[in-house]
Amino acid sequence: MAQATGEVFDTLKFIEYDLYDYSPEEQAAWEASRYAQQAIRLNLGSVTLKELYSTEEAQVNLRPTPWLGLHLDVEDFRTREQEVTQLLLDFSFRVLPWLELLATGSPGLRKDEGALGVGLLAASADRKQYAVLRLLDDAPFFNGRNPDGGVRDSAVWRVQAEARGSRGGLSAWLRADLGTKSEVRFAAPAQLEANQRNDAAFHLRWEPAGWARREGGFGVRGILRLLDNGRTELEVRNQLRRTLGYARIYVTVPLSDVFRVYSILLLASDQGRGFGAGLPFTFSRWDIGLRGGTTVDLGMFRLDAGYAAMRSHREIQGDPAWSGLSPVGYGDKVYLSAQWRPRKNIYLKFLISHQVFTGSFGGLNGSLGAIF
Amino acid sequence: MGRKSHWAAMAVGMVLSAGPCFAQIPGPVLDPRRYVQAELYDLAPALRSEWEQGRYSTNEIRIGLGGYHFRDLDAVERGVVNLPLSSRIMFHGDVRNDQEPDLHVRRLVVDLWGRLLPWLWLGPSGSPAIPGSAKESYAVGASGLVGDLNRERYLLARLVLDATFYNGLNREGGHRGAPTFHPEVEARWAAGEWSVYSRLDLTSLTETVFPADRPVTYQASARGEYEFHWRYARRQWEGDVRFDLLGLRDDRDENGQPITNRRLRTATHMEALLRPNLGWPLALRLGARLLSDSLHSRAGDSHQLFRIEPGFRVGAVWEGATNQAELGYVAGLPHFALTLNGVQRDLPHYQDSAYAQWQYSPTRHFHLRAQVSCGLAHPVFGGASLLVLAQF
Repeated sequence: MAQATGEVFDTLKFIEYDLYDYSPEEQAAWEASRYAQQAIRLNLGSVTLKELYSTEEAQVNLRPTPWLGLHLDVEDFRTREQEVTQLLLDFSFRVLPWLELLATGSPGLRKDEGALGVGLLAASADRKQYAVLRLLDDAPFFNGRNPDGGVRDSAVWRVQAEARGSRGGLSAWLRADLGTKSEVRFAAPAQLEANQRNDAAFHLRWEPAGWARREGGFGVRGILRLLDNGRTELEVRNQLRRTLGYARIYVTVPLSDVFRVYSILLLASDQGRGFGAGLPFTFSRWDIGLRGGTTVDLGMFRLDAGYAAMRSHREIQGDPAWSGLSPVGYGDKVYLSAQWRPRKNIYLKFLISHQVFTGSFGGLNGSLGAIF
Repeated sequence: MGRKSHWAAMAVGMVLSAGPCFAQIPGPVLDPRRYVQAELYDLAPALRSEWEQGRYSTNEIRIGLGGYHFRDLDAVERGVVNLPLSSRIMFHGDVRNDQEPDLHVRRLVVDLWGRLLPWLWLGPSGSPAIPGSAKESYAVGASGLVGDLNRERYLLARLVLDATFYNGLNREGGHRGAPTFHPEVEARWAAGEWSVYSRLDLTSLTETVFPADRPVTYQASARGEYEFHWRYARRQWEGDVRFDLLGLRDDRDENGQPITNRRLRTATHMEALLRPNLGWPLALRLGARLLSDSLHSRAGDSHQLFRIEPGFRVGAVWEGATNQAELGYVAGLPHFALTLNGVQRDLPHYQDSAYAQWQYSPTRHFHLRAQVSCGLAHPVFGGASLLVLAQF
């Protein structure tokens, strides 16, 4: 619990999640490419001296014949509350000009891992508007084949959905990855492990006609994450259930071909409860913050500078280690980033930040994105 | 593995059970069927050559999954990205996630090259962690690529320092007295009907000392890998020679007991595909191989396992325009020589598999392969595998 609360109550956490993330324009381009093009995104940022914010993604879309397609998704996410590594492979079989059946698998490196499933993909002719639904049996061969001797009484199902639609300057994107609970019993020593992860993310964006060329727009981005991890060993229960929500409402206004200004309202909530060494605890956190900055677009090079501040209201009950925690915390960062964009939708970015309130070094972030 | 084909493994296991320290030998090393199966699941020489050719010229994915065991999987998951950011700057990414039943390699390495001369690319290299948990796993270094215009003939040299910031950033309290050097050299040359490919990947000895209150207080590991592939291909026949070498060292002090493990594995393959002029698109595949695997361990008792395995392969291939079907037979004669505290035992075996495979190649650079096999000497289901190889 102490480790979890260190991350839960870090006032900089949601500022970093926003600073290190891709800009709304980069994100929108990636959403449109998901089933149409190849893409790579590598994003690494420092969180603490020993901890890393890391998201590494790649996608491949191949169509060797008109009736057969291959979609590959690789993800290696390390955000502070979870770590997800996944390789997903879809073979798609076209049955109608707009409809494809999917045979889906996640090849694990041991037979007790991995997933098998089926799905449907409906897509427009250019595949930039799509709706995908997959049903996966997660680790179908777990029982009897995992090396730790764990036994799962019921199958774990995952439903993955992703959809994007656009009309004029308006676009909407949604992705959900929902799973039933995995409960694994071990005989020696007697213990029960239970895990569940549900993730959803969305992006609603409007680009007024005159702004699109200069990457202006309005929008809201959000994530909702439900995590439940528990372990009972020697009848001592440890459990953490969290509901984490994060929304960003943004506006980017192009002042000229060179200058843009942007502002983002940050809203976050993290509610949790559980048991630490058998004792119950609860915690909650509500954050509100603002980020503002300006971008100077010099063609192949782009400079970006701004400031973000956040007020965090937090509360914890049942954990004496955190009894002196201040109910209100503040965090801020001033930042500067330089970006090289040799081609459209290809960029290399470097960001450095500084904490003004505390005077501490704020961290570094580097990212590479390519859609091709 | 089926009940009958367990005979050989059981015989080996019975002998091994005479010494408790043999429990440390990974089970797959003792599996007599293992390399027969590995031969089946491997890339055909023509596809391997295609993969080698595209390493620095195009984007590639290769996913191969095969299993005959209930627990383990032979998995090869690799990807290569070569992305010209501009005419003078190129991004290269190489991801590898391979698992044999007892060996696992997971690595991502990226290079950002600037073109200094029409044939010379130089730049920084690095390796983020997978999973991206901690900064301690970062590797940084530099690399250079010499290549022809389309980079299908190349020489790559890369040197990175693995876990560069380990001492300051690791959470286990480990300390390393010297950096870990990870040099790699990879080269390919092709002219007309022949090509040669070679790759060397070394990880220097990494010695880590942990605090005295941890179960493992000292660990030393090193790894070396070498591949060589020579190929000659013309319409009437193709010939291939391959040599692979893997060396591993893993020493540790665990609960006060020093444990040492050394392993050296080599494999030599020779294969030919003959296309006699019969009027049908039929070809004959012939292959021979010799494998050796030696394992020395010391943990209280000392033991030594030496495995030598000659083998052969024959197959008939029907080569259609987009479809290719193959029926064949693979055999191996593994011979185990065991030494436990100075006492020697020898165990010979015969293992085989008959296989059928179908390969679908709708475009020149997209291949799907499905394969199924069964044992004949020990009648049993031999396993199945799937392979995707694509360049784009």
